[in-house]
Amino acid sequence: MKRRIMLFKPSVIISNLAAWIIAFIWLLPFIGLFMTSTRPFEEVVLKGWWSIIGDYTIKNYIEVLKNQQYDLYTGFKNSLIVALPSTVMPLIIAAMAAYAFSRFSFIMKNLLFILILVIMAIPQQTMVIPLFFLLKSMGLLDKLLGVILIHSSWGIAWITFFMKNYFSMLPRDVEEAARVDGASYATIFFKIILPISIPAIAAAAAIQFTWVWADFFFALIFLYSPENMVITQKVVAIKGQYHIDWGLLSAGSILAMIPPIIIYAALQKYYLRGMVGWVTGKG
Amino acid sequence: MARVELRDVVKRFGKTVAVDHVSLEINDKEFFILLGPSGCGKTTTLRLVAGLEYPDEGSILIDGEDVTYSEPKDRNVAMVFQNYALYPNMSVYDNIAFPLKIRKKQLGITDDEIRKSVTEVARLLRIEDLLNRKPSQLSGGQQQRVALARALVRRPKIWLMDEPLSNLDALLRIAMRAELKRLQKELGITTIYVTHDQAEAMSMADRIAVMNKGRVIQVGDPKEVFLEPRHVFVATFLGSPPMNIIECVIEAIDNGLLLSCPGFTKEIKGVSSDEVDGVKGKVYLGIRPEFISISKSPLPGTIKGVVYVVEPLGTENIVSVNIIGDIIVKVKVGSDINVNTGETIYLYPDWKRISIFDSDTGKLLTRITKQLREEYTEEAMV
Repeated sequence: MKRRIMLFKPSVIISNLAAWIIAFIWLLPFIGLFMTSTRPFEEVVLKGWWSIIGDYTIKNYIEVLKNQQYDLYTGFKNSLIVALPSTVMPLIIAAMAAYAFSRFSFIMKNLLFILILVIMAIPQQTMVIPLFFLLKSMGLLDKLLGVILIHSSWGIAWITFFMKNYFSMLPRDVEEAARVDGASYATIFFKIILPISIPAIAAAAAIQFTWVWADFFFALIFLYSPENMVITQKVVAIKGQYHIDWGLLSAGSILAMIPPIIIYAALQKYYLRGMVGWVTGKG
Repeated sequence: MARVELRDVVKRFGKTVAVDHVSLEINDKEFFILLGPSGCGKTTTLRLVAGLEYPDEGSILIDGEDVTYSEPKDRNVAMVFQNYALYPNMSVYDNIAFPLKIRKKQLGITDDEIRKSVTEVARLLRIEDLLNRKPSQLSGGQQQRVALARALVRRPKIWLMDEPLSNLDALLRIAMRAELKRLQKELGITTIYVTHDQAEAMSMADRIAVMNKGRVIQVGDPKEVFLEPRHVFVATFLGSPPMNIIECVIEAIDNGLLLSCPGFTKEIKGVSSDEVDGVKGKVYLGIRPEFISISKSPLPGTIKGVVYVVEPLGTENIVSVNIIGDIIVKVKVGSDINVNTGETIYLYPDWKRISIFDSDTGKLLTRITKQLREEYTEEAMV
């Protein structure tokens, strides 16, 4: 009974209302996209996406998946090939770097860390020309490996920062206990630190995966053969030069969103706990 | 066999000197307690022995072997932390087995032997039925036992304990005190134990090192540090309530010294004025509340005072008495003695328990104390 009364307190009502409004505004583009993807072409063109009354269809989805011309399958495959290693690799490297930054003292530690922060602040666009020539000289232009390396190195910076904050919050005495018990630093890191850092790792993995998956810019510059294109490029290619089928385009976009959404849903349990990595900056 | 020796150890953190020229010798099988207020350097001293910190000066020896700069894992010590520091991702079984598992090759033991050791130590600490749980599913007392089991499982040379009981509730703490002491004696493991709780120190230790501001002030068995404090700090840190400290003036007279305290004076014969040269006339007279008796009539040698407040503690009362000059003297008396606030009473200190400290350095003035005790104890007997 008491709990029920609590729910109707003005502050609770106001904060709930605000949360719902913000969530609705946030979701509006997605709702629009979804509506468009489920309407026949004529209705979208004539009535727009906001008319709820009318015909609904999954024809757009079938068409966009079946039609060889759009080749979404290759896009999905390439995106996965790029996104998975570009998530796992920087996570492993950055977690180790972050542990070193949070626990050991070494020469130029602060300078190095500042360098990482600076890298995080650089806009990707400013780096794209030197990167183009770098990849070209390495023979990695128009190769998935090239994009993987670029995404990975970009990811290392922010994940190091993120994980360092998380590690700094972990109680030291557990590690000290392990040291007295006879564990090496490697054992401590892999057997104790990593398992208790799963929330942060999951959060970083979800963000990095989405980031890489959603990337259009690097892909556009560095991948140009149709067989090497990733999903974001393939979705754009649904749009014809003279004709745009909004329904097909929306269906393609919705399909492209599925993998990151699955990742978020799967890691959601850890995700919120791990986000504290952003808010505390001590250590 | 496990003897620990600290030789002139100094540890600094930036400009603060956490451990200031500490020298200690801890004997085999001894229960040795480092006692002091927070920030006195006792935990740092323990961490130096563990190898979690390295000293800036001095050396640390375990069984005669210099381990000053060796890694914790090479010292064969085990440590129990204040917050237990259990591995949250592992079950109780894995927590206890951890020190053995990571030394499996080195020790040449099998999984079966590990299981046997873990079960054995779990039985000893009565946690056999918790082995499958995670630390987060345990109560404070249970976590404590797991931490002890983990520290025990590989039979270390030395047990290091950093306030292991301070997070337990009062009743459990007292129960664990006795249990820990029994366990230590039974297994005969040299133990260094850090606490700020004097009752814990008095009840468990074979010997106590009282520390303050990074220095060891006094080392001795519990009785010794309680009855014969070598420094005014020890006198006021130990005891509940602590020793009464009264500021007195000391001066040379014809055939000795004259001690003038608020409410009374004492002549000290047979001590030359040279003894007090460095004292600059001021000394502290210390007497424990336990060693003052109360009289309702003015007997010779008593000090007049007015009862300020009475605190009943069940079997005994603590009476605060206001003597001349608004000085409060605390007296511990049996609860059968009835005094009321505002009543005039007379205090009779036991002179053989009195201590005189230098007001400057805080150190015990041995000669004066001895002479005073002898003279006035005799007088009382007459």
